[in-house]
Amino acid sequence: MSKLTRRDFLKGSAAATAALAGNALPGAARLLAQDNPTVDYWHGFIAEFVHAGFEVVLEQFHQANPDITINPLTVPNSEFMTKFTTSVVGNAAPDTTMAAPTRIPDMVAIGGLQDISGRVSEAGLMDAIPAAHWDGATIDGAIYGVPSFMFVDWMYYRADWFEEAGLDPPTTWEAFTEAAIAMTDAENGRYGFGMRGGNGGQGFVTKVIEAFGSPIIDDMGQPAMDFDKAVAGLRWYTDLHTVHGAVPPSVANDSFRQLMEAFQTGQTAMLWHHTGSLAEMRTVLGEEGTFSTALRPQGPERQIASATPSYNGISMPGDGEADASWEWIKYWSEVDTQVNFLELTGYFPSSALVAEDERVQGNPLYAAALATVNEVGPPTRFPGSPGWERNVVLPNFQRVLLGEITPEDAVEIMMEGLEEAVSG
Amino acid sequence: MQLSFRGTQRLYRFLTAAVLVFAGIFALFPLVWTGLTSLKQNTDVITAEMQYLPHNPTLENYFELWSRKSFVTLFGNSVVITFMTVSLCLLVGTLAAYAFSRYRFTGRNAALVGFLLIRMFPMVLMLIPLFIIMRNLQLLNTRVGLALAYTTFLLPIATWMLKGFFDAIPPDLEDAARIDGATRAGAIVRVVLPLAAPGVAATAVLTAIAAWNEFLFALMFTTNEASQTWPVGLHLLVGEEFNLPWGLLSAGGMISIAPIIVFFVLAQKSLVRGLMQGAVKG
Repeated sequence: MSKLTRRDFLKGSAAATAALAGNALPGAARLLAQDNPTVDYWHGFIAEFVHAGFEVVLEQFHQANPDITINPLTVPNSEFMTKFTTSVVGNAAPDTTMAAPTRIPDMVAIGGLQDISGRVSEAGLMDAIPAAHWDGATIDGAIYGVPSFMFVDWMYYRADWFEEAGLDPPTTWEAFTEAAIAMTDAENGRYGFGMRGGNGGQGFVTKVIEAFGSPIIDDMGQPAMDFDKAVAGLRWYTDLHTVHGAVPPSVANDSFRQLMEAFQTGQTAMLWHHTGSLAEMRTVLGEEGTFSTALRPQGPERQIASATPSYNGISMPGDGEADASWEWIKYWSEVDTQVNFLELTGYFPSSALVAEDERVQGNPLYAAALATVNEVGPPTRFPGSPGWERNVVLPNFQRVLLGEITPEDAVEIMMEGLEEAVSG
Repeated sequence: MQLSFRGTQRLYRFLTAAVLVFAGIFALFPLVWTGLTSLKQNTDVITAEMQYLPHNPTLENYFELWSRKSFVTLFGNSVVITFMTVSLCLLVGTLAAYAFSRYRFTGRNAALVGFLLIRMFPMVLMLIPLFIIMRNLQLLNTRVGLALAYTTFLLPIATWMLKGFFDAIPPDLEDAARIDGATRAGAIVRVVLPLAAPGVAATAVLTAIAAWNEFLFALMFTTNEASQTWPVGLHLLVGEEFNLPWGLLSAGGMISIAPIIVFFVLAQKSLVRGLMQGAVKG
C-alpha cells in the first residue's frame, strides 16, 4: 500500500483548489476598459411584455447613439433597496437607475443619486414635463430624477355588459354604486366591482377617504384626517360589499392577481387599476369590444385617483460616463420614446407633449388617462406612510369588510395609528 | 361499546394511516398541482371554473423555458456554483471536523461555538462586508465569489455535522491503521472517510440543497445577467404583478427541484443512514 504523506495531501488539496478556481474564473464577467462609454442601468422591467418594450427602447437608443452601450440589469422590486444600498456603500453602484418616488429620499440620503437640476434646466425638460410630475424627485429644490413614464389610475369596465344593459360607465360615486348593483348577478357568479381587499387594498382606501374630502396629512406633514368625511368615504366603499353585495365574497383576500383574473374570466364588471396593466388586458381580452377604460369616479370632492411617475436618475457614473448617462435618461423623456413605450407596454408618458401625438389622441383607450394625468397628483406619502397603510389601514378596512367593526371604529383606529406614524 | 385490545389496535392503526395519508396529500398536493399546471396551455390555467387536469397536456412550457437564451447560462451557473460550494464545504469541513473531533487544543470549544455564531446573524447583515471584500478581491460577478460567499454560511453547518459523524468512529480503528504503517492523512482517507461516507453524503446533500436554492447572495453579488443563478432567474421570471406566466413558472419550479430530487435519490441510502447515525451517536 503506497503511503499518503501529509505533503502529498496538501499538494493534492492545493491542486484541487487551483483547478476549481481556474475552472470558474473564465465565467467571470468583467467590463473591460473601452473607448466608447458603457452605461450600467438598473431597472424593474420584469414582466415579459414590459421587458420586450424595454428591449425596443434599448435598440432605438443604440441606433440614435451608436457610441454608447447600455448594460441593463433587472432587479426585483422587493430587493431593490437592499441591492442598491449595498452597492452604494460598497462604492459599486450603477451609472444610472430607475427610481420610484417613494424611494428617492432614501436613495439621496445615502448618496446614491446625483443632483441633476442643472442638466434638466439646460435641456429644457421642465417645459416638456408638467411641474407636478417633478415633485417626487425633488428634494430641497434639487432634482434627482427625470420622469420616464406614469402609472395613471383609471377604471376597466366590461364594455359589452354595459352596452347590453344600456348603461354608460359611471362618472360619480353615486352612479358607481348604481352600476355595481345593476351589474351584479350573484347567483351566476357575476359581481359589479372587483374590490381590492387583500394586500394593496390600503392605497384605494386612502384615495377614497381623500376623495370624500378628508386629507391624510396637512402641508406641515401633520395628521389632518376629518373623522366624519373619512367615515363617509369608508362607509360608501365598504357598503359596496357589506350592504349591496356587489363585490365577490372573497373580497378580503382579493389582491391584484385575483382581481385581474376575475375580471378577465367574466366574474366582475368593473375594476380599478392603472395604466400599467393595459397590455395584459389587451393580450387576454383583445383590443376592443370586450373591455374599455374610463376615468375613476368622482368623489364628493375629487376624483378617486392619482398619477405616479417613475424616474430615472444618475447614480455613480464612472469617469467619462456622466454625459452618456445623462443622454440615456434624457432619452426616456422624449416624446417618441414615451409613445413607443406606451404602445408596447401601456406605461403612460410623463411628457405633456404626447397629448398632441396622433397615436395617443387617436386611441380611445388612452382618453381616460389623458383626462386624469393632469388633474391629479401622486398619492399622499409621508415618512411612515407605507407602514401605517399596511399595518393599520388595511387590516381595519378588512375588519369592516368582514363585519367585525364599523367604519367609525376603523377610522378611529386609523387616526390613532396616523398620529403614531407621524410622530415616528 | 368497549373495544377489544385488537380492535383498539386496529383503530389506532387506521387513525395513524388516515393522518399519514392526509399529511401526505397535504404535502404533495402543491407539488402535483404545480406539475399539472406546467403541462397546461395558458388558456387552461386561468379559467372561471377550476380545472385540475390539463385538457390538452403539452410540454410547450418546458420547451419555451429551454429556448430562452438565459436558461442554459442560469442553470449552468447554478450547477457549477453548487458543485464548487459542496466541494469546498466537504474539503475544508472534513479537515476541520476531523481536527475538532480528534485533537484537544486550546480554544477548541470556543472555535466550535464561534462557528455557530456566524449562523446566528441574519445573512443580510453579512451583505455589505462581504460585498466590499468581494469587490476588493474582484470576485463580484464570478462563480468563485458566489461559491465562497455560500461557503461562509454553509461551512459551519457542514463542520458541525461531520464532527458528529467522526466522533462516532472509534479512534482505535485509525490507531490500527497507523500501526500497519499508514500516515495520519492515510488513515483519514483510507479508514475514517469510508466509514463516515454516509455522513459525508448527508452533509453533501444538505449543503447542495442550500447552495442550489440560495437567492440573496446570488442577487447581491452579481451585476450582470451572465453571472446570475437559477433562483435569481426564476424570481425574475415570476415578475411582480403583471401578466404572470403560470405555466412557464410551474415548469421552472419543476425543473428547479429536479436536480435535488436526482441527487437525493442517488444519495438516499447513505443520507438516511448518515442522518440516523449522527442522531444516535453524535
